[in-house]
Amino acid sequence: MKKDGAVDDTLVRRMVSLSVEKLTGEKGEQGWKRLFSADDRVTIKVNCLSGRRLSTHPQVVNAIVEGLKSAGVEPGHIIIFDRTTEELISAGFTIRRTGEKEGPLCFGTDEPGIGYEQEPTMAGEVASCLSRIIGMSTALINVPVLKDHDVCGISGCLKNSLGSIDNPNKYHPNAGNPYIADINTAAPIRDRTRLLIMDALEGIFDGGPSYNPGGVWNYGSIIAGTDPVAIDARALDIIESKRKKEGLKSLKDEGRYPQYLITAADGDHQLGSMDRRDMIETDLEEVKEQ
Amino acid sequence: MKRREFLKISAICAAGASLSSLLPSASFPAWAGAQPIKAREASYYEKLAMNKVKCLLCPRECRVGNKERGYCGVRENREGTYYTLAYGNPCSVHADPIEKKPFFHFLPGTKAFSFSTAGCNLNCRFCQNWEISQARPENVQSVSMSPKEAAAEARRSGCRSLVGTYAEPTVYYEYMLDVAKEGRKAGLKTAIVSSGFIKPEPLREICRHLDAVKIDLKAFDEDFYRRICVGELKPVLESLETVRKAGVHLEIVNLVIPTLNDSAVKIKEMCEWIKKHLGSEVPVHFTRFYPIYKLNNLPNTPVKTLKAAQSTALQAGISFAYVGNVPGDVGENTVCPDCKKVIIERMSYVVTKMAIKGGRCGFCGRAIPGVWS
Repeated sequence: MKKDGAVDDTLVRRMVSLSVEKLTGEKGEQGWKRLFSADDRVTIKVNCLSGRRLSTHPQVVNAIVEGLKSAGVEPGHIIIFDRTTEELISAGFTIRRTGEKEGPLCFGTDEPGIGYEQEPTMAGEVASCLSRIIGMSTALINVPVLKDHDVCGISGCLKNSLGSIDNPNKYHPNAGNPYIADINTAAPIRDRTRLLIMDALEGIFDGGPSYNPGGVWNYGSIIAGTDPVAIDARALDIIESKRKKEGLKSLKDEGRYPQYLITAADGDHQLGSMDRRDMIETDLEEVKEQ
Repeated sequence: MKRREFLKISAICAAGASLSSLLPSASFPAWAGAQPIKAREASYYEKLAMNKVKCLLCPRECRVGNKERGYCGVRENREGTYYTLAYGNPCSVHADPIEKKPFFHFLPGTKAFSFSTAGCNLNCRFCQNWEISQARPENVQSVSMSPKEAAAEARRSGCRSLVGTYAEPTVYYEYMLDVAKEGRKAGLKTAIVSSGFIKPEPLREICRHLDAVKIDLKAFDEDFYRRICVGELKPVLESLETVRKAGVHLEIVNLVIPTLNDSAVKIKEMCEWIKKHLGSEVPVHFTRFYPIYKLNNLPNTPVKTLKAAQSTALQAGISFAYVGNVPGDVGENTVCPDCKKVIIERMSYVVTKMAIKGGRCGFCGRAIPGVWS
C-alpha cells in the first residue's frame, strides 16, 4: 500500500507471484503451470459487496490474470465475476462482455443471458441454483477479502461462495453453521476450486462485511493456498488479534464465533483443515525488500 | 417481454398453476413487460447502530447489515434503511378457481385473481413453488402492476377476489396490504394463502383489510418445522389464533407427507388443538403430497391416509374436514354437520352442486361458516 492508501501495482504483482512461488515451490510461470494449463477455462470469484473501499482489489486480480496467461490460459478463457455487473463496476473492475486478446472477460451473474442454473444443487439442507458462470469453467479461483462479519463472524473464502448462488439469504441462520460449509461441498464449486487468494491488503475487523470506516485497517498481506478452511482460520486469527488490540470483545464473546469453519473441517464436509500451516502468507514487507 | 410471454413463463414458475392466461385477447395493458426492481421503504423494522436493521415482520427477526438482505431475500438494508424489493412486481399472475387455493368456504365456484412476487421467509423441502419462493425478485421474470392495476385487472377478468398466494404474502406484505385496500374500493374480496409465519402486529393490521385467510399448518411438530421448513410451529399457532380473534374467515391446510408428518397421533393432537383454540367451525383440508423439490424420494400420500386424517378431524369435533389434491374424491364435498346432506359438491376445482342459501344449509338451515357473497 502506498501512504495515501492506494495500491501499488508492482508490489501487488510481486506479492501474488511470491505467494504462488511459496505454494508450488516453483518460480514465475513454472509455479502457475503447476496449477493451471493452456486447456483451462478459469473463473475468478471476487468479492465486491462493499464498493471500491473494501472489495477485492482489481490489482490483485490483474496479477492473477497475468499469472494465468503465463501458464498459457487464453485471456478470453478467463472470467472475473461476482453477483452483479454493477457491483464489479463499483469495485473498479472494467467490464468486458466479449473475448479480447488483451483482457479477460468480466461481468456479473445478473448479465442478460447468464443468470443461474435452472435446477437447484443440493448442498446439505439448502438447495441453491448456482451461477452459470461456474459451469463455464474448468477451474475456479476464489479471491475474497479479509472481513469481519456481523452475523457469521468472518467472511473469507468459504463465505465468498455465497456470491455464486441465487439465494445467499438462506445461509445466514445459526451464524451460517452448517450452511456455509454445506454450500462449499457442492460439486461444481468444490471440484473446480483450484486456488484461493485472500486479498488482505486491507481488512475490516469490526462492523463488516460492509464498509465501516472505523473498522477498516491496512493489513498489507496476501494469504493463499488450496485449503479454504486453513486460509479462513488464519483470517480469523488476524481479525481476533486486531480486535484484541483495539480493545474489542472477541468474536466468541460476542456470540459470533465462526463455528462453520469447524464444521467445514469435519468428517462430513472435509473441506480442509484448521491447521494454519496449510496456507501461506505473503507480507508487503517481503516484496518491498526485493 | 410481452404480457403473453410473461404469462407463459409465469405458468411454468408457479408449479401447479395450470390455468390458461387471464387475458383472452392480445391487448397488453400499459403495465405489461419486464420492469427494473424498485425499492420501497419497508414497514415493521427497527434501525440499529452501525447502519444495521432488525426486521420485525416475521418471527425470524433478521438482523441485517448494510447491503445485505433478510432471510426472505426480498428485503434489503441500504445504508440503515430497510427496503422491500417486492412491491408491485408480481412474477406470477393467474385467474385461478378459488378451490385451487384451496378455499372451500370462500366464494365457491368463483375465480380468484391470484398473484405473487418472489421470495419466502421459510424454505420448505416440499415447496411446490420453489422456483419463485426461493428466488430473489431480480432472478425471476416479473411485471409492474400497481395495487390499483391489480384490482382493475381482477375486475376485468371476471374475478370476485384478489388472493396473495403461490410464494408467501408475508414477504410482499406492503404490496398485499395496498392490494387489499384497493380491492375493497373496487368491490372485491381479498384473501391470503400463507404459512402464518408472521409476527402478530403486522398480521393484525392486514387482517383489518382481508376477508379470508388460509394458513398452511404444515405439521403439529416443532421438529418438523425446524428440520423440514427452517421455521417454527409456535408462531404459526399464534397466527391462527390471531386471525380467528380478528374475525376473518379462516381455513387450514395440512399437507400430509408420508413418514414426515402423517403420524395418526400427531394429527389427532393437531385436530384437538384446533377444536380447543379455534373452535369447530374452521374448515381443515388434508391434502395429498406429490414428490417435488427436495422431497423427491417420498411417494404420493396414500388416499387412505388422508381419509383417516379426515375421520380423525371429524371425530375430534371439527365440523368441516376435507381431503384435497385427490380429484373427484367425495372427501372434497361439503357436508352439513347437522343434516349430513351434501351442500356443496365438487369435482376437482369445479363446483357441480351448491345448496347454500344466505350462508345456511339449503336443507336444514344450519349456519355454514364462510364468505358466500
